[in-house]
Amino acid sequence: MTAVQERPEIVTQEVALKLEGVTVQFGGVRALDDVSMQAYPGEVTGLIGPNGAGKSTLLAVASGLQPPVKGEVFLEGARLTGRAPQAFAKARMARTFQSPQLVKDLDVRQHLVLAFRVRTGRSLLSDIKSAFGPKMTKDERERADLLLGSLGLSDVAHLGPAELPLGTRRLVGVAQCVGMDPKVLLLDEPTAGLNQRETDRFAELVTTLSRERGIATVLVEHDIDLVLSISARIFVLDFGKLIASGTPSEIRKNKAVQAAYIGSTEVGA
Amino acid sequence: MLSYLIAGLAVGAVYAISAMALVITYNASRVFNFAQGGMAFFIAYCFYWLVNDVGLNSYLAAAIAVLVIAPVLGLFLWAVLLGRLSSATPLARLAAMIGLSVALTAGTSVIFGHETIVQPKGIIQNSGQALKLGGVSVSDEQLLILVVAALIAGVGYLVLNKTSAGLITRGAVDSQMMTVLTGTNPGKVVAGTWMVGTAIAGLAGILIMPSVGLSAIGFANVVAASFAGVVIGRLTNLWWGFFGALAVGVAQSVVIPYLPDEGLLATALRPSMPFLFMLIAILVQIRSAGVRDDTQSREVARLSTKAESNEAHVHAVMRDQRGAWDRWVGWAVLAVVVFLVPIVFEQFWVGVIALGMAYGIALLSIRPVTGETNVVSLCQISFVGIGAIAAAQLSTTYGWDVTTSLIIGAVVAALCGLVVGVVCLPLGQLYAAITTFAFALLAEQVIYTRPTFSNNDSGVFLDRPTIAGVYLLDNTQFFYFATAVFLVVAGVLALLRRSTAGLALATIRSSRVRASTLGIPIYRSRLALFALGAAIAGLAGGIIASYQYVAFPAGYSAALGLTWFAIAVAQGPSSIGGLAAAGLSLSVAPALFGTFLPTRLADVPAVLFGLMAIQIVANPAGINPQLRSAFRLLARKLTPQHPPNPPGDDEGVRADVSTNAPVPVGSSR
Ligand SMILES: Nc1ncnc2c1ncn2[C@@H]1O[C@H](COP(=O)(O)OP(=O)(O)OP(=O)(O)O)[C@@H](O)[C@H]1O
Ligand SMILES: [Mg+2]
Repeated sequence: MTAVQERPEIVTQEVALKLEGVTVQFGGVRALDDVSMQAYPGEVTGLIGPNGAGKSTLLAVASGLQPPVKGEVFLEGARLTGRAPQAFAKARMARTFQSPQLVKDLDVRQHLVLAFRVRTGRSLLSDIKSAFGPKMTKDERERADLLLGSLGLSDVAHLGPAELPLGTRRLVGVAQCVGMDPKVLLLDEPTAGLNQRETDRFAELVTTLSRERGIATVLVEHDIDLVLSISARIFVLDFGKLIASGTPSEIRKNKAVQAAYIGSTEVGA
Repeated sequence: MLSYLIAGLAVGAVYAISAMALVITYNASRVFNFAQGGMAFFIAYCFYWLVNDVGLNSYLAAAIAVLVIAPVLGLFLWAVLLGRLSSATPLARLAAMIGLSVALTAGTSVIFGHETIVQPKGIIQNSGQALKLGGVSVSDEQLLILVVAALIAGVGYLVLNKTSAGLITRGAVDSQMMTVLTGTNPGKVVAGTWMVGTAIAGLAGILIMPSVGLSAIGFANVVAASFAGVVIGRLTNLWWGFFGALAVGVAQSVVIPYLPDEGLLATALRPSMPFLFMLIAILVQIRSAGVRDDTQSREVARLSTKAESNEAHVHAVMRDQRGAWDRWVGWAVLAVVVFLVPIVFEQFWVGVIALGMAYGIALLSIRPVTGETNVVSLCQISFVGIGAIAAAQLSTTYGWDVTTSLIIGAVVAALCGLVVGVVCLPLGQLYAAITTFAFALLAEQVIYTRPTFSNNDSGVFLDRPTIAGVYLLDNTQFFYFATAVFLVVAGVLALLRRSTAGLALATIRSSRVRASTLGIPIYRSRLALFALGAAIAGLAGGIIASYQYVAFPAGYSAALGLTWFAIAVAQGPSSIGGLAAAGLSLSVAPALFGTFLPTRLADVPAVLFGLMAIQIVANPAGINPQLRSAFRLLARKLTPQHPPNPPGDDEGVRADVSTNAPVPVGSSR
């Protein structure tokens, strides 16, 4: 089907996220047209394309928020097409959003505590117990602070999202997702609003996290250089169609990709 | 049959033009006019006054009321309130409109006196037969209504399809795009729409007045039916709304010959029509492509982001002001009150305050519903009524122990809450407000009027409970009892908030997509909370009834429910202290007015409650949190050396929010 699957060393790996022939229609707009993609554990998969190409829509399909008209979604081999987003979360899929979607009444640390507790599973009994216990256990607090430290968010741990700049809010969204200890992590433009130093640190962190925890990370980004530098493979969308996929060097040379990004003679150059 | 059809068309036509007014104002401003019933009531009263007290000819009076007074009212309200609502959060917008409704209705009674005029004459003072149609006589009045409605529909059609202002009122474009497309000033179009909307609402009021009487309750049916039309038209579709409301009127009339002479169906079917139509419309809309949720639509999201971030900022500043000693202040106030009330006041006033605490329990039910899940439920008062009725039935008719009856009453209310929640919660905030209000009207007309419950309008006896061997005959004891129950319920709600469920609910409140991708079950959580709210309301209903020794269903009307909601939201729907204050004012204010002031002013408290609800547009946190914030600042100023970091649970770097700045009011940021 795609170039990626023809590569022998990849076929042996187990697919974490697999989208097959996904089509999404919004009224007259065909936001996605027969798009297939895969993401593998331990590596970053890039998803790029011009504005309105359908990247966010693809993530919505992959996270259960947008049921596709046609096509299938598999998480670690299990078919999840048409299931509620909650089922995707249960299968340990986590995602961030282009707009950060944080909780105005919770501080940054509480966002993480919720993620931890969702991960361990909630029941009526555990919820009732939590009402009488401390706001967060010592263990939860330590884990939260460790994670926040690695993202450079220690200073804002006690603040509410309204008090944070947009870029920082996106990072908090990422932190919350990592707190869910996901197998598949979808990131929608996480570095928008960060400066170069923060972006570099973020790139480093995402790569390490993916490798160490075996997370299949899908990274949607406008910062092509970033995507080219940390992705193991890249998928390119344009007007809802998959126009190319392959390793960074293949994508760099791809004529269709260059045409889609008018003005740049060579992508990422 | 034909005569029923014509009568139905005449009534339905009034519903239809009301629905039309609702839709055009909503389309132009994205504000749903909950106050339209109040506006209609006010204009109709003006008409009545012009004819009967000033002595004008009825046609002239109608012209003045509809063409002068109504547009001026619409313009005035637009200038002072409606025009500003677009920058408010959806909840604040709704609360302000509900406050306006309460203030307008009560204000009308204050201005014109509050005796109900049972059979006022309409525009045609001596209605006779106008013509015969297929052997059925059509009265002048019916003919007038039909002609007027047809005229309005015709003119409406032309304006909407042939003019640029029509584009915006058809909901075809939003107001920003309007400016770009046509160069028209959208503010002017919106103001004009409110003038026209108020005029049509007023006209509808004058037209329906002869058949329903001149009372706020009489107008409820028009409101319910036009709401049904609006739901059928998915809030924005004018003609579906128009003909949907018309259909409700026709259906209400043509079923008459088929109704049995007595029994539930005989009395309940017609008043339930609006609710049934809404229910069917909602089910159809959910099945086909889901429901347009106004609070989540892109446009509304854009409008309210700024308001929401302002509000979040206010909360952040207040959270930052909180000191360690702070939480004890509320307890101290409470202890002093509990200690002093029985000593200082006579039995009568202790009773009034005890009743206020019982109302406070009822209003606590607004915290899980509106405070935790952002659902505007206008039928909490119905659950109060249901709890009261159930407790009285169990205790007095079936001889159960009073305390057990109170608890079972709460359970019954919770079950009703589940049923209502199943219908209302899949939809947007506005739909929920509309359908819960319709349910409140339904309960009022269908459940409360059952002979077993209303007992010839005198209610069913309910004794006071015996708690731990003490029969609570004494008002002081009852005050302690009500306060204790209030505290227990408040404690449960406070625990809920700090639990994992509380974190999950906060997430649902802020971002549904985030909550669902975290695996939090949204519908189930909200439904559980709604049922909890209903249970609390039902418990309060039993307590209120047992204080008064009677479950008097007529006391739990939908209109009063709006007042309750207004005062609760004004005080702060999440603030326990605020809800206690709101409950107390519901009982104390009328008692004060009734004791010390002429009866003519009896509705002044309701006007004040309505105005207080309106001010949350400027102060989204509510009065009580605002007062607290002011108090904290004062305390901080008076403390000689205030520590820069009050010993709280955070040690990290402080926000750059100035902790000594007063909480910004409204949109000032
Ligand atoms: N809910 C929706 N309703 C209608 N159209 C939509 C909806 N969501 C997306 N679209 C349309 O689908 C197309 C793809 O949008 P999408 O948000 O997926 O693009 P994107 O690649 O993420 O763009 P960007 O880089 O701007 O984020 C666009 O034309 C968009 O207008
Ligand atoms: Mg996008």
